[in-house]
Amino acid sequence: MNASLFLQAMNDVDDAFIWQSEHSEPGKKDVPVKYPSRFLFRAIMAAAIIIAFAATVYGAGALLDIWNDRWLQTPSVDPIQLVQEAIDRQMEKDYTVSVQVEEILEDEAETQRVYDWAPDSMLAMLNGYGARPEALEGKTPEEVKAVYARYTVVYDHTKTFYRDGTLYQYFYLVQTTEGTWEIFESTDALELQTFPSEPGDASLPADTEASAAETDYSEAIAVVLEMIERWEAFEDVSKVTIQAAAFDQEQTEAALQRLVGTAFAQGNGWTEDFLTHHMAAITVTYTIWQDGNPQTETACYWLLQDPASGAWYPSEITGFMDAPEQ
Amino acid sequence: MEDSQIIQLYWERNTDAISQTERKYGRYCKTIAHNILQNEEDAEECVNDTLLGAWTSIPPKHPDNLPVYLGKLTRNRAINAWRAQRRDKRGGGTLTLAWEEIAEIMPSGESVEQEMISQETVLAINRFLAALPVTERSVFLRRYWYFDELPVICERFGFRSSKVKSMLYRTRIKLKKYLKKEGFL
Repeated sequence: MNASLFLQAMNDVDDAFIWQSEHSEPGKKDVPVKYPSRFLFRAIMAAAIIIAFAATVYGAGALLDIWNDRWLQTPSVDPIQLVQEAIDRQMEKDYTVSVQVEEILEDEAETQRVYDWAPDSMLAMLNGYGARPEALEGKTPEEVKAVYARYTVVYDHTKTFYRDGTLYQYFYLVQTTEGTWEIFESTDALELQTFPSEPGDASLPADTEASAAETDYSEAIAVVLEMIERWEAFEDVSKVTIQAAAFDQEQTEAALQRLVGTAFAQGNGWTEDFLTHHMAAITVTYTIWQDGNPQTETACYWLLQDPASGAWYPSEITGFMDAPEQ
Repeated sequence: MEDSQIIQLYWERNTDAISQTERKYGRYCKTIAHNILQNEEDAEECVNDTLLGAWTSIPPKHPDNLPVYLGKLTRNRAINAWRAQRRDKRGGGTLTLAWEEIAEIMPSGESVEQEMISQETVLAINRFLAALPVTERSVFLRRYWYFDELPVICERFGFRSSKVKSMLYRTRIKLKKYLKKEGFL
């Protein structure tokens, strides 16, 4: 079969599918749901928790989808200056009361991951791991930069529903042939709520210095199982059964390596010690009946533990990613 | 007028069937034709061909879903016209892009297969589509059945461009795996 044959064969697919897609209303999802679909839920969870890591520990961060495809930017020879100006120019929006940049850093590790189009880059995880961005085509590693920014913004709530707060966002830049830099993509911006204390300063339970091998992950596993079982509340899911769930040392270490030392982790005050003792990956195999079709999946969920209360909070990284077949 | 009444007009060989069809579904068919041919005049001609095709095929046909039936006639004619244009190096637009996207996961080259679309092939594609979540399936159909441009799909579903691209990419990868498993690749 080739592409022409496939597209021709598509002509005779079931009428119901064709008509169903015709009736997807503009600006709305085409599936009436009791709650957002499981996949939307996943995306929100991933966005809200992966980037706003501390927010998962101290309270859920609110997803704030600002500036996507709407940067006001002037190409600059200085990548930091470019991002600084893009953030400052948020003031030109009539709903912005104030904006203050807290920190802007180049993130070499994220730059490399994006250049390699690795599935664990923040961009791939949060925006969906699809085709390599066209903007990267023909670029050398030196012509690409990932820049991490943290800023505080206040909005006029008579004009926008956006919440005020300190936002975290990655900007992705490429260098033009003229030598200037331009933003070609960004992750969603997330609001980080006020911390009761920095993770490193929190009063830790007495056993938090125990090694990972000695830690009891049964509560973390229970949190994941409870989250998966709740999917039955979604309109498109009729049943979920769980086959297996366990702490995954390998995935935990991989996540640790991915985070430690990054500008993102440093900006949030997450030390290697904190992440080593309060992060866990749980691998779970389950069968989900979605739209009547059973599908068995093995997913890995990344959790963080509140050092003060000891409670685990679910996140989702590996399970959300869907690396393409090479 | 209800679809069943329009179909009844066809069966009565009443030429009002054509005007009623054009009034109700002319725009729908033209959108499909235009997505493929990217030319107002060619799309118009294609819709006229579709109306003629409906007139000559109903009866004996009695479509359960009139607009989809008309859509299939339109799509088929438009693709044939696009092929002819492509041979003349004039083709372009969304179908070319969609074709290239699918070509990434399929073996290249034209072949006698063009004339060998079996019922088995269509059933296999139906099984694949049936297994997809509703939203993914609808987005896939919008791209590879209706040949909607990406911004049109984004607006329809309220998704960002990156999400639609990602969704389509993942579905194509699933399709490739599925067709391999079923022995079509």
